[in-house]
Parts: sequence; C-alpha cells; structure tokens
Amino acid sequence: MESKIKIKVEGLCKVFFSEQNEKNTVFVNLNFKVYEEEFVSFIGPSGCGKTTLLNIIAGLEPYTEGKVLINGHPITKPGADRGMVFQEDAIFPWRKVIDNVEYGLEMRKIDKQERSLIAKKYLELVGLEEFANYYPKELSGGMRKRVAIAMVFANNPDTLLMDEPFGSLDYVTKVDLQEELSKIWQKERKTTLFVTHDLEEALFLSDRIFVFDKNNTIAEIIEVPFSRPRGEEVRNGQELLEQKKLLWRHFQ
Amino acid sequence: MRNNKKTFLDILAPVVSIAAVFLIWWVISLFLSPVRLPSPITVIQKWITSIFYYPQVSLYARGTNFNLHLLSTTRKYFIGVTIGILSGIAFGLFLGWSKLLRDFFESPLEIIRTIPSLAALPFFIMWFGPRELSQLGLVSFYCFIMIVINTLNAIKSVGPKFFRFALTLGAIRGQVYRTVVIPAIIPELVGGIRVVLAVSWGFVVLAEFMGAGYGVGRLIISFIPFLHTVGIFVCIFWVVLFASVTDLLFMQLIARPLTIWMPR
Repeated sequence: MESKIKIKVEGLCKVFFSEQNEKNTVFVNLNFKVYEEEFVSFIGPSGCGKTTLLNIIAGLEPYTEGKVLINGHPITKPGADRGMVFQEDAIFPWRKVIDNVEYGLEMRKIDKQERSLIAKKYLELVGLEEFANYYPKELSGGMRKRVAIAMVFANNPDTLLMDEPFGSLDYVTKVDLQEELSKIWQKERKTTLFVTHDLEEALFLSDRIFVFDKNNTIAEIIEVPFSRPRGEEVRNGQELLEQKKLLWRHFQ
Repeated sequence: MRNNKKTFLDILAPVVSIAAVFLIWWVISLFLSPVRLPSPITVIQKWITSIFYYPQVSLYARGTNFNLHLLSTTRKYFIGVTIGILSGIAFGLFLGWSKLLRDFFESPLEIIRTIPSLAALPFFIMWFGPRELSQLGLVSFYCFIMIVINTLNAIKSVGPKFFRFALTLGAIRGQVYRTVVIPAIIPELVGGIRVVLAVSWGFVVLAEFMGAGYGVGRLIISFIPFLHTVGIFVCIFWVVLFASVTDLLFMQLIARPLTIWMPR
C-alpha cells in the first residue's frame, strides 16, 4: 500500500549572509519525502542545518530556492498545523501550566470549558495533572519540556516538529520522556520530524532515520526494523545495539 | 522553596542603621550652629507640629501650617505621574506595534530624552503659566519620555523564542502582541516605573522652586532667605516620607502581584 506523501522537499537551497557579509550555503538541492504518520529522525553532526531545515518546514525561516510542500501546498508561514517543540525552553513563564497548555486552543477561540477539558487530558498524558496551577518557574527543566509537549499535542497539529527537545536534559529524564513520547505517538499518530544527536534516541523512536553529513546533504536513509509498540526490551535489546553500530559507521 | 520569612535580624538591621545615622547627626549638630546643621531632635519636633501650627509658614510663605503645601505637592505629583506613565505606556505600545511608526519617532525621542527635563520647565511656564499646571506638566513630561523609551526597550528585548512558539501554536500577530509581548515586558516596565516614581518627587519639588502657588518646593524657597534651615529639613523629611510610602505601595500593590511569575 502506497502511503500518502505528507511533506515533500524538492531542490531546496538555502543561502544566507553572515554578519561579516560572507555567503553561507546551508543546503544545495536537498530532496526528500516524508509520508503520513511517519516518525522520521534527522541525525548528523552539529551545524549541518538540521535546525534550519526544521525552521523552514515550520514556516519560521525563508528559503532561497526550491519547493517545500506539505499536503501538496507550499509552506509560506508558520501555523498551528505544524506544531514545534523547540530545544530551548519556550513555554510562557507568565502563564500557569494549565494556561500554557490551553494557549493554542485559546488562540483558536475554543471556549473555556472545552479548552479546559482538552488541556487537562494532555496534562494527564504527560503526568503533570497535579501541577496545573503552578507557574513554570516552579518546575524542573524536564517538567517544563513536558508542558511544551502537552501544549503542542493539545493543539492537535497535523505535523509534529521537534528540534532536539530532550537535548538539555539528564539521561534518566530523557529516557522517561522518550518513552512518554513514544506512548503518546502510538495513540495519536502524527507525521513527526525529530532532530537529534542521540543515535539510541533516533533508533528507539523512528521509522526512518535521515543521516546528514557535514556538507548538509542526506548521506543515507535508514529504515528502522523494530516493530511497534517499542518498549524497554527494544531499548536494551541486542538489535538496537547492532543498528547503532551500523549507524555509527556512517559517522566515521 | 525560598525562605520568605523575615528574621529578627532583617527587621533589626535597618532600624539600627537609621538610629546610628541620627546619632551621628545629633553629635555633629552639637558642634555646628542651628543654621548650618540643626539638631535632629528639633527637626523631628518641628516635623510633627508642621501639620498643626507652623509660624514660619505664616511668616515667610502662605497659610498657617504645611497642610495646603503638602496637599498641593502630592496632588501635582499623583496627577502628573499618572498622566505621564499611562500615556507613556500607551504610546510605547503603540510605537512597538508598528515598525514604521517606530522608525519615525525613535530619533526625536532619543534626542528629547537627552534634554535635561528641568531645562524644559521655563517652556512649560511660558506656555502654561507659572501656576500648578506647568509644574504638573513638567512631571508628566518627564514620566512620559522616560516610560516610552523604557517600554520600547522592553519590547525589543523580548526573547524571539516566545514569538516563534506562539506562531507555531497558531497565534496571529495581534494575538502575539497581546498575549506574549505585553506580559513579557511587565517586569522591565515595572522596574522603569519604580525609578520614575521616585525621581518624580524630586521633579515636582524642583518645579515648585521656579513656579508659583503652594507646595513643598515653594516652602523651601521661602525659608532660604530667612535661613530657616530646620524648615528645609522638615520639607525634605516630608518628601522622603512620601517617596517611601509611594514606593512601598507601588511594590506591594502593583509590582509584586504583577511579577509573581518571575523566577528570582
């Protein structure tokens, strides 16, 4: 069965000029497809434009040449259909947790009662229902990341973009959140683009992995062979270790 | 959780340090003439009676005690700062919204800011007369300029990550301004307002030096030729009291509640 194409990038070029007026080429002729309900990870060395690519698809950054299509339509600006979890902590510190989760719904003018119900549901999903009336300053980094995830999911975007969301967290919290994300994703399958440095993370979460090289091109696309749902056995299993070894060779 | 409770030492320390200042003052005043440095005891005595009966006011100025003057000064202050601060915030937000307007107004604003506001006083007196209106106008003018610039700077320093996040959650420009920019600038705004509130007390007194009518500044001007130094100290004590109370009320009633979400 041929899956529908969700995101199509054709001949993407991105060039920008630095403060010193130097021409920096981020991409030259980048091409790929992402299918509906696919979880795709982008991995590769730092500075190879993965964040820029995600920002372009989010509509937050312009591109120089080429086509970036979602559902066949060109992407021109940001929107609620492409929810994004940033690497930095961007939840609103002046709003309580529950008001943060309700933000997207509030912008879409959904009435208070319905908003409240939806927000509570997603807070429960990330395990923070007790902290609904707290301010972000009272939460740890990992908890704030969970709030961000709840905010984005509560807004029910078509596509999920995640830019190293667990990058700044400690190992235990990271593993915890990976499993939570996996669980939520099992329930609400959204097309997801996930940027990470962590090979294990990419293997645990994704259907396919796009390996970028330092020239900002896709060196390899790997199909992840593990069946879903994936639990602890997969993370600690032999297969994952083998796949990691294979992946690691691409970085040599 | 942070320990918010004030320890005994927290309350004792300021009391002890102020008492020490008074003690040193008293000692020094023993060696100087009352015109040079009156004793703190005399000052405090005159301060307490200043709202009942104060002969030097009827002799050198107008009225029988400080009351009409205190009222005049506080009235000019409160009306002046309210008009200045509120219009400053409104204009600042207005400029913040449109890049076009901002580019147009920013340079003249920066230039006006560097004009010592006191130099503007003669213009106010020329245009609005020497009475209360000009003095009030000066206070408003100072507050307005300072707060507009403060607001613009606050808007500029809002982290772009919040804008981006809001946009990916489906907010449109007007909503972003209302739900991200305005809450985000509150801490910086509050900081600027606090400073302006304090300095404006000085401004109103100085404006009264040059204007006419009633006011604490008028009293100081009246006392100087008669070398009534005690009276000048009493005026200063009143202004310090007013400024402290204003600051306290502002912090407790407005600033703290609005910035409760800030990590400290």
